[in-house]
Amino acid sequence: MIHSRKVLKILIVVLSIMVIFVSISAFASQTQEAAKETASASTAPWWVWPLALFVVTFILGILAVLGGVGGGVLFVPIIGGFFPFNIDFVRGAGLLVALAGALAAGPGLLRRNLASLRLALPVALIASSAAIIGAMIGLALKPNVVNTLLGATILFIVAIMVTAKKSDFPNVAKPDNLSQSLHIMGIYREESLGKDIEWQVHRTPQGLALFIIIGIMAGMFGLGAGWANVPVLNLLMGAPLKISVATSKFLLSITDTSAAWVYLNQGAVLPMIVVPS
Amino acid sequence: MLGSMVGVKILARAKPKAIKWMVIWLLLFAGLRALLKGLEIWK
Repeated sequence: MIHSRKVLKILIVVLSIMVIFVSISAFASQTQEAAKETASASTAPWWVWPLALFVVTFILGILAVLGGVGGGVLFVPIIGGFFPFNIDFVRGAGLLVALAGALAAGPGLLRRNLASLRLALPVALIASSAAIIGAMIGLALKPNVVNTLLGATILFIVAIMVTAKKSDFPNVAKPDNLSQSLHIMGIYREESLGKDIEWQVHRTPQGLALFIIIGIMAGMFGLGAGWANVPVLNLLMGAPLKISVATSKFLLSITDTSAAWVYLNQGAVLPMIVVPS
Repeated sequence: MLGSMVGVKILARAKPKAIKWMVIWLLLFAGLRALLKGLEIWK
């Protein structure tokens, strides 16, 4: 636990240095561009947008932790829809916002035993290696087809979650061999009930296999796929809902990192949008 | 980022039922958005 906190601290420091470095190098050339774009799109004074961003993303940050999701699901559609910024900059910012949010939430989640390192690490390893393959496959399919399939899949998951019984604390009669050998189990304090909940997981091989698909999709779209993590961890593997949500949020800090580099390299990260967020 | 820190505290105290509906609404929003984008209704 102490070790993981150290690792997280190091990650936060590295990210801060990265952001400062990028800010300095990108600020001079790109803010002018963005200012021109914003000025032509709206008549409001320039400071209105960073202020509005700060307020909106504060609320989004709370919702994102509660749902175990990153920026792809909330930040990009909302900011991209209602703010006068180019969508590429919004996506770049969304990724960094998701990363910063996950890193900020990580220590708190780990301290409360809500996010499980033992559950997150094998899954992260598989998802991030699959993400590289996904990025290599690229966008072979038409974006329209992919989006329609994505939407249909998510809505299908919603239908399962609405009808699923006992998803808050799934009943895992017997953990499988793989989860036992990896020691994927734990206890957390359920504050709302005032008691400790013991949990373990089953169907680990199937779950890990699904994370290959999630990883490939994440790589293809450059998102963290938090929306896919929660149902797999909760409904398939049988981790309690709070554990699934917290572990998913923690996972994003690992899976988003690889995608963040791509956007940084392409110059899609504007300090003016990212900093208030 | 500041919102995330507040969110963690709420997550620890919130009822699992409330979290379940939260996840469902977020997924519903994301799913509809992706579907409508795919069908070119909401670009």
